[in-house]
Amino acid sequence: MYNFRSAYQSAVNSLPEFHMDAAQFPDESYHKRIIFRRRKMQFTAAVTATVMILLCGFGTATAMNNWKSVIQIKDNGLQISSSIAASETPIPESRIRGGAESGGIIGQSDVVVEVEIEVYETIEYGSIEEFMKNEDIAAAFPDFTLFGEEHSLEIVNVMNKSLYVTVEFSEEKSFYLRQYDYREYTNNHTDMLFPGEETRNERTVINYQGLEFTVFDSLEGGERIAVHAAVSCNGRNLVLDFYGFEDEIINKVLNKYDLSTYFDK
Amino acid sequence: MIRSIHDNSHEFQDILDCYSDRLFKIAYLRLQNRQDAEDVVQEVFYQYYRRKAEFICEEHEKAWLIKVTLNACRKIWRSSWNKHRSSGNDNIDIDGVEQEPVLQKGSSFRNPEDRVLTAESNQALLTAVKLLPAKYRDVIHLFYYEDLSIREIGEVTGRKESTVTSQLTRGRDLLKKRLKEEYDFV
Repeated sequence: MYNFRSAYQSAVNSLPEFHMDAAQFPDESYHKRIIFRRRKMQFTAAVTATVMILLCGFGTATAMNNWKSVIQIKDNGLQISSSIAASETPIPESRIRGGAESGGIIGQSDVVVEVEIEVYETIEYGSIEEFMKNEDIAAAFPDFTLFGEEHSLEIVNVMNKSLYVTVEFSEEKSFYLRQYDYREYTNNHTDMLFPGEETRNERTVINYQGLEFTVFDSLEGGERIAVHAAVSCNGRNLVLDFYGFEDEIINKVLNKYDLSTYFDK
Repeated sequence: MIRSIHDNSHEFQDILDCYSDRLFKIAYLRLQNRQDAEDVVQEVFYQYYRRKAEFICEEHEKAWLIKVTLNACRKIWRSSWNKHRSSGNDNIDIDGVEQEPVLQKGSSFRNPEDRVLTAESNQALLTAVKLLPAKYRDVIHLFYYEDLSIREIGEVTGRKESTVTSQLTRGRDLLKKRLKEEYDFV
């Protein structure tokens, strides 16, 4: 038998090495460049982790009013489909929209699908207020006072009409919001993956407006690492991630979540 | 005696020389992505430098650095949908890196065949560890690579000693199965 400790140490020592120079560290701009790149990567990763199929061709204003997607929890992710997309209706034309160049391909076994990957520019705003000033996109944000503490960071990334919002409260507590707008399309299908090994404990929370959030936990090694909530509302899919918050706070935030902006714009 | 860091750049460079690669390896094994791991280490030392933290001893300093590294890894893991992103990058890359002998049974490893075998053994071992759930992987690495005690692992991970012991046992059991009982885990 070989000794695991020495074998493992040797194996780890064979990994790439990394050394740093003290001269880099007083440079604030260097740090900011890293942070900026990190945010871009996070946004790109979030978008590529979400594969949307938007089906064009039959969009009408009448149809839009009745749009409501079916939200299903999968192994370690989420699937949102419009009821028409989930049916066997032949697909006249389709597009896969992924933000990053890597894009994504979804197979359709019985139909020939024309695939077009569109790459959009991403715009980053340093606060929700700045986003609201500069963009004419309806977005429903929670009442942040309900989280019970001040947040230190707000970032809004916009790609086409999709939003990815990061709100950090502390090292352990953060909130993410993703919003996808599919009003220009008759059908949509979205697959998302979450960190962790599995998703469990699916439940619903109905807000004060009577709109239903599908809520579930993502687990790693049996321990909850995050709570996710998804709602489909008048042509938008909204997915929320809560890290480090208790159920009581999450339920309060969801109960009082005002989604009326989606019906105004 | 409380030791203040960064009194001079030589001391800071010494700290970097001592810990940057060790922290990088913790982050690399956790995130399985070189760029992410480098970012984590840079961020950790940026915080270290900025906060001018004070430590009562070297062990305290080491524990602080490891703890902040693990927290930074967790942050990247949860915020970047890392699982999805790393799914196409399953092999820890040891290509192009000079392989050190792993098996301790007396051969000199000087011929190319031995080196290939060594590289394969390293890869198999690292892959087995990589396939562990992250919480077991952390504990295995800290125990077997960083030589931290159960108590120290509990401190840097924020877990109870009983939890660490249990995770270490489960991690070992999984490794034994995956490595087909070839290793002694003493």
